[in-house]
Amino acid sequence: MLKYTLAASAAVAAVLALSVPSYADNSASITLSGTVVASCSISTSTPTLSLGNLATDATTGDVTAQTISKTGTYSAFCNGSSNSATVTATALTYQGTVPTPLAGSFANKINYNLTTTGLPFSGSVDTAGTGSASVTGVGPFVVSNQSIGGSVNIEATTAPALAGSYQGSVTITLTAGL
Amino acid sequence: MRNQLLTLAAAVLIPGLAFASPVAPATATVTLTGSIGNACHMGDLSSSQISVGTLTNSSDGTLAAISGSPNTTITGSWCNVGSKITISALPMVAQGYSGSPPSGFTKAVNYTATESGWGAPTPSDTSQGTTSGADSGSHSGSADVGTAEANTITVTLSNFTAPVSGSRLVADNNYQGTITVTLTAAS
Repeated sequence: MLKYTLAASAAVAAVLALSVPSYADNSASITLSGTVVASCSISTSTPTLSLGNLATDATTGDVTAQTISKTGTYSAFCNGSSNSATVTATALTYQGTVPTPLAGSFANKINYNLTTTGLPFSGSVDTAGTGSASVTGVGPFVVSNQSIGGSVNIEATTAPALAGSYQGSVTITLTAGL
Repeated sequence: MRNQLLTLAAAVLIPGLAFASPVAPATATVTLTGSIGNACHMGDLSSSQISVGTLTNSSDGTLAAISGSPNTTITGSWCNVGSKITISALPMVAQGYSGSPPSGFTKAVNYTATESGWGAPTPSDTSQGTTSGADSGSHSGSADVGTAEANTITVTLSNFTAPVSGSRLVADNNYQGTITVTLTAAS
């Protein structure tokens, strides 16, 4: 009987020894989150490009077709995975006042077409047409002080051009997209 | 007890023996033994997610300064013996951008995660993401604490950087990183 009692005590001791809990939850995981908004930026250090004195026909006074190479310096970036770019051009327009009685006799607008180069995309525009061209699906890109330009193809006029200053514009619009 | 009963019965049935020399009681002492194993328990996170908001400067797309010191706490942790606390940080990576970004861009942001409150020294780990988003290897920070501990653990984030200085971050609505804190009981 004494042996039995001792055996029982030993059994109790053994149970106590085995009752130590086991812990597995000894780590913690923290998630860190943030966002990056899709955006584009473009700037130029050459906001004005002079095409110089356009050639005209000595007899008719019409502006002749001619090609002038010009480049501007741009810095730009888009961080979206699917951005779009639009190039819009407006015709060279006479900056003075057109004499009313002669309005139909002279050209006061000169069209041209050009293709921009130097960006990860190219856009051809013709001011005689829509004057706008778009490219979509452009991936992330960055250019820093990059020469962007190409050939400005002046289109001939059908009337003598008024003498004076002409001004047009080329606008590159970048739109970020995911 | 049984021996005592036997002694009493003998005294009743055999009166001649009632005043014989008493029998010394038999005793037995049982020693109970037990042990408590080495264990640690990680408590509850005040927040399992830390949002740092917008990561970039809108003007040039580079990494913006992260305001404040993003942090979270873990309450109710304990180790009943000396322990090792380990912290590891994986970079924040753009989850929706597939492939590697072009030159000049990154899809990862690195940072340093530092633990405090669990003895000294305070371990830290800096993620080692590359521009393509991959973590460049196994790494962690750890510290050994010599005694049992029960305390609140604080995890603080700092030193947010791009893998290549000046690189721009690709746009993505979901940049995510992971910090793991582990308590290991001393063996």
